[in-house]
Amino acid sequence: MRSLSLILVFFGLALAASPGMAKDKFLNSRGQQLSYREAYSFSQKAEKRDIVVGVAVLGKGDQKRYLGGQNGKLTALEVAISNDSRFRLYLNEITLIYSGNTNGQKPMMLDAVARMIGPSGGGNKNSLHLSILRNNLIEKSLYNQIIEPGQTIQGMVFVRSENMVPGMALRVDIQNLKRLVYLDITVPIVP
Amino acid sequence: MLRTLRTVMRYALCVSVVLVLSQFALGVAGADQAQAKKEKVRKIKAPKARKRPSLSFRPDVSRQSPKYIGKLGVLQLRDRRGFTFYGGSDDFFREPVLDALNNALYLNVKSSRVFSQVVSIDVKPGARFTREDLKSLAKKNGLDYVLLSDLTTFTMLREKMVARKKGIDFKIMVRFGVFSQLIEPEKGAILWAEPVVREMGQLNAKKKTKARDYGNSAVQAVKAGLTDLSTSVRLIGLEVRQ
Repeated sequence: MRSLSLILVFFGLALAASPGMAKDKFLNSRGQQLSYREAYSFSQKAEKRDIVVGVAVLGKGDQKRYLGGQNGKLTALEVAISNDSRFRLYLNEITLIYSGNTNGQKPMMLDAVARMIGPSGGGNKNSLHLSILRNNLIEKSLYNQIIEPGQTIQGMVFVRSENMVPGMALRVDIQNLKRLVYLDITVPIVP
Repeated sequence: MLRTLRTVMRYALCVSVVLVLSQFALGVAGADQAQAKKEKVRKIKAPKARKRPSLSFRPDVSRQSPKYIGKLGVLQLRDRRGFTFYGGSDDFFREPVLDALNNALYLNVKSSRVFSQVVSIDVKPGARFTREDLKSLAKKNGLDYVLLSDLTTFTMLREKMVARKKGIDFKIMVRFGVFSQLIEPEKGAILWAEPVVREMGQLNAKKKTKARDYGNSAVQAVKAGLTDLSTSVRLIGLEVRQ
Protein backbone atom coordinates (compact mmCIF):
# COMPACT_ATOMS: atom_id res chain seq x y z
CA MET A 1 0.00 0.00 0.00
CA ARG A 2 2.82 2.30 0.94
CA SER A 3 4.68 1.55 -2.28
CA LEU A 4 1.55 2.23 -4.33
CA SER A 5 1.08 5.61 -2.68
CA LEU A 6 4.76 6.33 -3.32
CA ILE A 7 4.29 5.56 -7.01
CA LEU A 8 1.21 7.77 -7.20
CA VAL A 9 3.03 10.65 -5.52
CA PHE A 10 5.91 10.23 -7.91
CA PHE A 11 3.60 10.30 -10.93
CA GLY A 12 1.91 13.43 -9.59
CA LEU A 13 5.26 15.17 -9.25
CA ALA A 14 6.36 14.08 -12.72
CA LEU A 15 3.19 15.48 -14.29
CA ALA A 16 3.47 18.73 -12.34
CA ALA A 17 7.04 19.18 -13.52
CA SER A 18 6.20 18.63 -17.22
CA PRO A 19 6.09 21.82 -19.33
CA GLY A 20 2.66 23.40 -19.67
CA MET A 21 2.52 23.19 -23.44
CA ALA A 22 -1.26 23.50 -23.54
CA LYS A 23 -1.12 26.92 -21.92
CA ASP A 24 1.55 28.33 -24.18
CA LYS A 25 -0.15 31.04 -26.24
CA PHE A 26 2.67 31.32 -28.77
CA LEU A 27 2.57 27.60 -29.53
CA ASN A 28 -1.21 27.62 -29.75
CA SER A 29 -1.20 30.62 -32.10
CA ARG A 30 0.50 28.54 -34.81
CA GLY A 31 -2.79 26.77 -35.48
CA GLN A 32 -4.91 29.92 -35.53
CA GLN A 33 -5.54 31.34 -38.99
CA LEU A 34 -7.56 34.37 -40.05
CA SER A 35 -10.98 33.09 -40.98
CA TYR A 36 -11.43 33.37 -44.72
CA ARG A 37 -13.90 35.97 -45.85
CA GLU A 38 -14.26 38.06 -48.97
CA ALA A 39 -13.80 41.81 -48.86
CA TYR A 40 -17.55 42.30 -49.45
CA SER A 41 -18.32 40.95 -46.00
CA PHE A 42 -16.38 43.66 -44.14
CA SER A 43 -18.34 46.56 -42.71
CA GLN A 44 -15.60 49.01 -43.82
CA LYS A 45 -15.06 48.50 -47.54
CA ALA A 46 -14.57 50.33 -50.82
CA GLU A 47 -14.95 49.20 -54.42
CA LYS A 48 -13.47 50.36 -57.71
CA ARG A 49 -13.70 48.56 -61.06
CA ASP A 50 -14.73 45.25 -59.52
CA ILE A 51 -11.91 45.30 -56.98
CA VAL A 52 -13.05 45.43 -53.37
CA VAL A 53 -10.94 46.25 -50.31
CA GLY A 54 -12.28 45.53 -46.82
CA VAL A 55 -10.70 46.55 -43.50
CA ALA A 56 -11.45 45.60 -39.89
CA VAL A 57 -9.63 46.51 -36.68
CA LEU A 58 -8.61 43.42 -34.72
CA GLY A 59 -9.10 43.50 -30.96
CA LYS A 60 -6.50 42.64 -28.35
CA GLY A 61 -7.92 39.15 -27.91
CA ASP A 62 -7.65 38.44 -31.63
CA GLN A 63 -4.08 39.73 -31.73
CA LYS A 64 -3.20 37.38 -28.92
CA ARG A 65 -4.97 34.47 -30.57
CA TYR A 66 -3.29 34.91 -33.97
CA LEU A 67 0.18 35.97 -32.84
CA GLY A 68 0.52 34.61 -29.32
CA GLY A 69 0.98 38.02 -27.73
CA GLN A 70 -0.22 41.58 -27.93
CA ASN A 71 0.93 45.06 -27.14
CA GLY A 72 -1.41 47.98 -26.57
CA LYS A 73 0.96 50.26 -28.47
CA LEU A 74 0.17 48.59 -31.78
CA THR A 75 -3.07 47.90 -33.59
CA ALA A 76 -3.56 45.09 -36.07
CA LEU A 77 -5.82 45.58 -39.08
CA GLU A 78 -7.33 42.71 -41.00
CA VAL A 79 -7.32 43.59 -44.69
CA ALA A 80 -8.90 41.62 -47.53
CA ILE A 81 -8.74 42.38 -51.25
CA SER A 82 -11.14 40.64 -53.64
CA ASN A 83 -10.45 40.72 -57.35
CA ASP A 84 -13.63 40.28 -59.38
CA SER A 85 -12.18 41.92 -62.47
CA ARG A 86 -10.91 39.90 -65.41
CA PHE A 87 -7.30 41.05 -64.94
CA ARG A 88 -4.42 39.70 -62.97
CA LEU A 89 -3.44 42.31 -60.40
CA TYR A 90 -0.46 43.02 -58.20
CA LEU A 91 -0.70 44.47 -54.71
CA ASN A 92 1.82 47.24 -55.22
CA GLU A 93 1.71 49.21 -51.98
CA ILE A 94 -0.30 49.79 -48.81
CA THR A 95 -0.19 53.19 -47.12
CA LEU A 96 -2.05 54.96 -44.37
CA ILE A 97 -3.39 58.42 -45.05
CA TYR A 98 -4.73 61.00 -42.67
CA SER A 99 -7.34 63.65 -43.25
CA GLY A 100 -5.97 66.63 -45.14
CA ASN A 101 -2.74 64.85 -46.00
CA THR A 102 -2.37 62.99 -49.28
CA ASN A 103 1.13 61.74 -48.52
CA GLY A 104 0.86 58.17 -47.36
CA GLN A 105 2.61 56.72 -44.36
CA LYS A 106 3.90 53.17 -44.52
CA PRO A 107 2.55 50.60 -42.06
CA MET A 108 4.89 49.23 -39.40
CA MET A 109 7.75 46.96 -40.41
CA LEU A 110 7.36 43.42 -39.12
CA ASP A 111 10.71 43.73 -37.31
CA ALA A 112 9.22 46.46 -35.14
CA VAL A 113 6.09 44.37 -34.54
CA ALA A 114 8.20 41.38 -33.47
CA ARG A 115 10.17 43.63 -31.13
CA MET A 116 6.99 44.96 -29.52
CA ILE A 117 5.13 41.67 -29.14
CA GLY A 118 7.93 39.18 -28.80
CA PRO A 119 10.16 38.36 -25.87
CA SER A 120 13.58 39.92 -25.60
CA GLY A 121 16.85 38.24 -24.75
CA GLY A 122 18.07 34.69 -25.24
CA GLY A 123 17.10 31.50 -23.42
CA ASN A 124 15.23 28.50 -24.72
CA LYS A 125 11.70 29.69 -24.01
CA ASN A 126 12.22 33.18 -25.42
CA SER A 127 13.97 31.78 -28.45
CA LEU A 128 11.10 29.38 -29.17
CA HIS A 129 8.52 32.15 -28.76
CA LEU A 130 10.41 34.55 -31.02
CA SER A 131 10.81 31.93 -33.74
CA ILE A 132 7.07 31.18 -33.62
CA LEU A 133 6.20 34.87 -33.73
CA ARG A 134 8.40 35.55 -36.75
CA ASN A 135 6.89 32.60 -38.63
CA ASN A 136 3.40 33.76 -37.66
CA LEU A 137 4.04 37.30 -38.86
CA ILE A 138 5.41 36.22 -42.20
CA GLU A 139 2.46 33.88 -42.78
CA LYS A 140 -0.34 36.10 -41.53
CA SER A 141 0.71 39.56 -42.69
CA LEU A 142 -0.36 41.05 -46.01
CA TYR A 143 2.52 41.39 -48.45
CA ASN A 144 3.09 42.34 -52.08
CA GLN A 145 1.60 39.55 -54.14
CA ILE A 146 -0.40 38.67 -57.23
CA ILE A 147 -4.21 38.62 -57.04
CA GLU A 148 -5.64 36.34 -59.67
CA PRO A 149 -9.12 37.01 -61.15
CA GLY A 150 -11.70 35.73 -58.66
CA GLN A 151 -9.18 35.48 -55.84
CA THR A 152 -9.29 37.11 -52.41
CA ILE A 153 -6.10 37.77 -50.52
CA GLN A 154 -6.17 38.44 -46.83
CA GLY A 155 -3.70 39.40 -44.13
CA MET A 156 -2.74 41.63 -41.26
CA VAL A 157 -1.33 45.15 -41.43
CA PHE A 158 0.13 46.80 -38.34
CA VAL A 159 -0.21 50.41 -37.24
CA ARG A 160 1.03 52.21 -34.13
CA SER A 161 -1.94 52.78 -31.84
CA GLU A 162 -1.00 56.46 -31.40
CA ASN A 163 -1.53 56.89 -35.17
CA MET A 164 -5.06 55.47 -35.02
CA VAL A 165 -6.93 58.76 -35.19
CA PRO A 166 -10.36 59.63 -36.58
CA GLY A 167 -10.25 60.44 -40.27
CA MET A 168 -7.51 57.99 -41.13
CA ALA A 169 -7.81 55.67 -44.09
CA LEU A 170 -6.04 52.78 -45.72
CA ARG A 171 -4.91 53.35 -49.29
CA VAL A 172 -4.25 50.28 -51.40
CA ASP A 173 -2.28 50.75 -54.59
CA ILE A 174 -2.95 48.05 -57.15
CA GLN A 175 -1.15 47.47 -60.43
CA ASN A 176 -2.64 45.85 -63.50
CA LEU A 177 -0.50 43.02 -64.82
CA LYS A 178 -1.60 43.51 -68.43
CA ARG A 179 -0.55 47.12 -68.83
CA LEU A 180 1.56 49.29 -66.53
CA VAL A 181 -1.34 51.17 -64.95
CA TYR A 182 -2.25 51.68 -61.32
CA LEU A 183 -5.43 52.00 -59.32
CA ASP A 184 -5.91 53.53 -55.86
CA ILE A 185 -8.58 52.33 -53.47
CA THR A 186 -9.05 54.17 -50.19
CA VAL A 187 -11.01 52.69 -47.29
CA PRO A 188 -11.76 54.72 -44.15
CA ILE A 189 -10.74 53.08 -40.88
CA VAL A 190 -12.94 53.48 -37.84
CA PRO A 191 -10.72 53.08 -34.73
CA MET B 1 16.01 -13.71 9.27
CA LEU B 2 13.52 -14.76 6.63
CA ARG B 3 11.28 -11.87 7.60
CA THR B 4 14.12 -9.34 7.22
CA LEU B 5 15.06 -10.80 3.85
CA ARG B 6 11.47 -10.54 2.69
CA THR B 7 11.30 -6.89 3.80
CA VAL B 8 14.53 -6.07 1.99
CA MET B 9 13.28 -7.81 -1.17
CA ARG B 10 9.98 -5.93 -1.02
CA TYR B 11 11.84 -2.67 -0.58
CA ALA B 12 14.16 -3.46 -3.51
CA LEU B 13 11.20 -4.35 -5.72
CA CYS B 14 9.46 -1.12 -4.79
CA VAL B 15 12.56 0.95 -5.58
CA SER B 16 13.08 -0.79 -8.92
CA VAL B 17 9.42 -0.22 -9.91
CA VAL B 18 9.73 3.47 -9.03
CA LEU B 19 12.96 3.72 -11.00
CA VAL B 20 11.44 2.05 -14.07
CA LEU B 21 8.35 4.25 -13.89
CA SER B 22 10.42 7.37 -13.39
CA GLN B 23 12.38 6.47 -16.51
CA PHE B 24 9.08 6.03 -18.33
CA ALA B 25 7.69 9.32 -17.02
CA LEU B 26 10.77 11.25 -17.94
CA GLY B 27 11.08 9.31 -21.17
CA VAL B 28 9.11 12.07 -22.89
CA ALA B 29 12.04 14.26 -22.31
CA GLY B 30 14.79 11.70 -22.24
CA ALA B 31 18.45 12.25 -21.75
CA ASP B 32 18.60 14.98 -24.37
CA GLN B 33 16.26 17.13 -22.31
CA ALA B 34 18.45 16.79 -19.28
CA GLN B 35 21.32 17.92 -21.45
CA ALA B 36 19.22 20.71 -22.94
CA LYS B 37 18.34 22.00 -19.48
CA LYS B 38 21.93 22.97 -19.06
CA GLU B 39 22.26 24.58 -22.48
CA LYS B 40 20.42 27.72 -23.50
CA VAL B 41 19.99 29.25 -26.92
CA ARG B 42 21.73 32.57 -27.15
CA LYS B 43 20.27 35.67 -28.70
CA ILE B 44 21.08 35.88 -32.40
CA LYS B 45 23.45 38.68 -33.26
CA ALA B 46 25.13 39.66 -36.51
CA PRO B 47 28.63 38.19 -36.67
CA LYS B 48 31.69 40.41 -36.63
CA ALA B 49 32.47 42.00 -40.01
CA ARG B 50 35.40 39.69 -40.76
CA LYS B 51 33.30 36.57 -40.05
CA ARG B 52 30.29 37.46 -42.20
CA PRO B 53 29.57 35.19 -45.18
CA SER B 54 29.46 36.50 -48.72
CA LEU B 55 26.25 36.47 -50.75
CA SER B 56 27.99 36.45 -54.10
CA PHE B 57 28.12 33.29 -56.19
CA ARG B 58 28.98 32.23 -59.70
CA PRO B 59 25.81 31.60 -61.71
CA ASP B 60 25.48 28.58 -63.97
CA VAL B 61 25.89 29.64 -67.59
CA SER B 62 23.40 28.19 -70.04
CA ARG B 63 24.87 26.49 -73.10
CA GLN B 64 21.74 27.15 -75.12
CA SER B 65 21.67 29.91 -77.72
CA PRO B 66 19.71 33.06 -76.79
CA LYS B 67 15.98 32.49 -77.19
CA TYR B 68 14.90 36.08 -77.82
CA ILE B 69 16.65 38.75 -79.83
CA GLY B 70 16.67 42.13 -78.15
CA LYS B 71 18.27 44.23 -75.44
CA LEU B 72 16.97 43.66 -71.92
CA GLY B 73 17.56 46.20 -69.16
CA VAL B 74 17.56 44.83 -65.61
CA LEU B 75 16.48 47.52 -63.15
CA GLN B 76 17.58 47.64 -59.51
CA LEU B 77 15.43 45.73 -57.02
CA ARG B 78 12.79 47.57 -55.07
CA ASP B 79 12.90 46.58 -51.39
CA ARG B 80 9.39 45.46 -50.45
CA ARG B 81 10.26 43.29 -47.49
CA GLY B 82 8.32 43.20 -44.23
CA PHE B 83 11.28 41.77 -42.36
CA THR B 84 14.93 42.62 -42.76
CA PHE B 85 17.27 39.63 -42.59
CA TYR B 86 17.06 39.22 -38.81
CA GLY B 87 16.31 41.39 -35.80
CA GLY B 88 15.90 44.60 -37.79
CA SER B 89 19.31 44.33 -39.41
CA ASP B 90 20.82 43.24 -42.73
CA ASP B 91 24.37 43.26 -41.41
CA PHE B 92 24.68 39.49 -41.57
CA PHE B 93 26.61 39.46 -44.85
CA ARG B 94 29.88 40.82 -46.11
CA GLU B 95 28.22 43.00 -48.77
CA PRO B 96 25.15 45.23 -48.44
CA VAL B 97 22.25 42.85 -49.10
CA LEU B 98 20.52 44.87 -51.82
CA ASP B 99 23.74 45.45 -53.76
CA ALA B 100 24.60 41.76 -53.65
CA LEU B 101 21.11 40.70 -54.75
CA ASN B 102 21.02 43.27 -57.55
CA ASN B 103 24.28 41.92 -58.83
CA ALA B 104 23.07 38.32 -58.53
CA LEU B 105 19.84 39.13 -60.40
CA TYR B 106 21.67 40.77 -63.28
CA LEU B 107 24.33 38.04 -63.56
CA ASN B 108 21.76 35.26 -63.39
CA VAL B 109 19.52 36.74 -66.09
CA LYS B 110 22.55 37.38 -68.26
CA SER B 111 24.05 33.91 -67.84
CA SER B 112 20.71 32.21 -68.53
CA ARG B 113 21.02 33.58 -72.09
CA VAL B 114 17.32 34.21 -72.54
CA PHE B 115 17.98 37.50 -74.35
CA SER B 116 20.76 38.20 -76.76
CA GLN B 117 21.87 41.27 -74.80
CA VAL B 118 21.39 42.02 -71.12
CA VAL B 119 22.48 45.21 -69.37
CA SER B 120 22.21 46.36 -65.78
CA ILE B 121 20.49 49.73 -65.40
CA ASP B 122 21.54 51.67 -62.35
CA VAL B 123 18.09 53.08 -61.68
CA LYS B 124 16.02 52.27 -58.61
CA PRO B 125 12.38 52.65 -59.66
CA GLY B 126 9.91 54.33 -57.34
CA ALA B 127 6.79 52.72 -55.91
CA ARG B 128 4.78 53.93 -58.90
CA PHE B 129 6.94 53.39 -61.94
CA THR B 130 4.81 54.84 -64.73
CA ARG B 131 4.75 54.11 -68.43
CA GLU B 132 6.29 57.54 -69.17
CA ASP B 133 9.22 56.83 -66.82
CA LEU B 134 9.72 53.50 -68.51
CA LYS B 135 9.55 54.93 -72.01
CA SER B 136 12.13 57.63 -71.34
CA LEU B 137 14.43 55.14 -69.59
CA ALA B 138 14.21 52.71 -72.51
CA LYS B 139 14.85 55.46 -75.03
CA LYS B 140 17.88 56.70 -73.11
CA ASN B 141 19.44 53.24 -72.84
CA GLY B 142 18.20 51.77 -76.13
CA LEU B 143 16.24 48.97 -74.45
CA ASP B 144 13.74 46.63 -76.10
CA TYR B 145 12.55 45.10 -72.82
CA VAL B 146 12.79 45.99 -69.14
CA LEU B 147 12.85 43.64 -66.14
CA LEU B 148 11.29 45.32 -63.10
CA SER B 149 11.73 43.34 -59.86
CA ASP B 150 10.60 43.61 -56.25
CA LEU B 151 12.40 41.88 -53.40
CA THR B 152 9.45 40.54 -51.41
CA THR B 153 11.33 38.53 -48.81
CA PHE B 154 14.87 37.78 -47.74
CA THR B 155 14.85 36.77 -44.13
CA MET B 156 16.04 34.16 -41.67
CA LEU B 157 13.36 32.06 -40.00
CA ARG B 158 13.75 29.34 -37.41
CA GLU B 159 11.58 26.32 -36.75
CA LYS B 160 11.90 24.26 -33.58
CA MET B 161 12.34 20.62 -34.49
CA VAL B 162 10.73 19.34 -31.29
CA ALA B 163 7.98 21.53 -29.87
CA ARG B 164 9.39 21.76 -26.38
CA LYS B 165 10.58 24.90 -24.70
CA LYS B 166 13.71 23.21 -23.48
CA GLY B 167 16.15 22.27 -26.17
CA ILE B 168 18.28 23.99 -28.75
CA ASP B 169 17.26 22.03 -31.83
CA PHE B 170 16.28 24.62 -34.44
CA LYS B 171 16.07 24.41 -38.19
CA ILE B 172 17.46 27.65 -39.55
CA MET B 173 15.88 28.61 -42.85
CA VAL B 174 16.53 31.44 -45.24
CA ARG B 175 13.55 32.49 -47.34
CA PHE B 176 14.12 34.40 -50.54
CA GLY B 177 11.29 35.82 -52.64
CA VAL B 178 11.22 38.05 -55.66
CA PHE B 179 8.46 39.26 -57.96
CA SER B 180 9.51 40.24 -61.47
CA GLN B 181 7.81 41.75 -64.48
CA LEU B 182 9.05 41.73 -68.05
CA ILE B 183 7.75 44.89 -69.70
CA GLU B 184 7.75 46.15 -73.26
CA PRO B 185 8.46 49.88 -72.84
CA GLU B 186 6.90 51.03 -76.11
CA LYS B 187 3.34 50.01 -75.19
CA GLY B 188 3.81 49.44 -71.46
CA ALA B 189 2.61 45.88 -71.98
CA ILE B 190 3.54 43.37 -69.31
CA LEU B 191 4.68 40.25 -71.13
CA TRP B 192 5.52 38.10 -68.14
CA ALA B 193 5.00 38.56 -64.39
CA GLU B 194 5.59 35.85 -61.80
CA PRO B 195 6.64 35.57 -58.16
CA VAL B 196 9.36 33.18 -57.03
CA VAL B 197 9.88 32.06 -53.43
CA ARG B 198 12.53 29.59 -52.33
CA GLU B 199 13.50 28.45 -48.87
CA MET B 200 16.63 26.58 -47.85
CA GLY B 201 17.62 25.48 -44.39
CA GLN B 202 19.78 23.37 -42.18
CA LEU B 203 19.60 22.01 -38.67
CA ASN B 204 21.31 23.88 -35.88
CA ALA B 205 21.69 22.30 -32.46
CA LYS B 206 24.14 24.73 -30.93
CA LYS B 207 23.73 27.54 -28.50
CA LYS B 208 24.90 30.20 -30.91
CA THR B 209 23.85 30.84 -34.53
CA LYS B 210 26.98 31.41 -36.53
CA ALA B 211 27.68 32.53 -40.09
CA ARG B 212 28.01 28.95 -41.33
CA ASP B 213 24.49 28.16 -40.10
CA TYR B 214 22.78 30.56 -42.50
CA GLY B 215 25.37 31.66 -45.10
CA ASN B 216 25.19 28.58 -47.26
CA SER B 217 21.39 28.40 -47.10
CA ALA B 218 21.13 32.06 -48.09
CA VAL B 219 23.29 31.58 -51.19
CA GLN B 220 21.43 28.39 -52.14
CA ALA B 221 18.01 30.03 -51.73
CA VAL B 222 19.00 33.07 -53.82
CA LYS B 223 20.60 30.91 -56.49
CA ALA B 224 17.61 28.56 -56.70
CA GLY B 225 15.13 31.45 -56.77
CA LEU B 226 16.91 33.33 -59.52
CA THR B 227 17.40 30.15 -61.55
CA ASP B 228 13.64 29.50 -61.30
CA LEU B 229 13.00 33.04 -62.46
CA SER B 230 15.30 32.74 -65.48
CA THR B 231 13.83 29.35 -66.39
CA SER B 232 10.31 30.74 -66.23
CA VAL B 233 11.25 33.72 -68.45
CA ARG B 234 12.89 31.35 -70.93
CA LEU B 235 9.82 29.10 -71.05
CA ILE B 236 7.00 31.63 -71.21
CA GLY B 237 8.71 35.04 -71.42
CA LEU B 238 7.48 36.38 -74.75
CA GLU B 239 5.21 33.50 -75.72
CA VAL B 240 2.04 35.44 -74.87
CA ARG B 241 2.99 38.25 -77.20
CA GLN B 242 4.04 35.90 -79.99
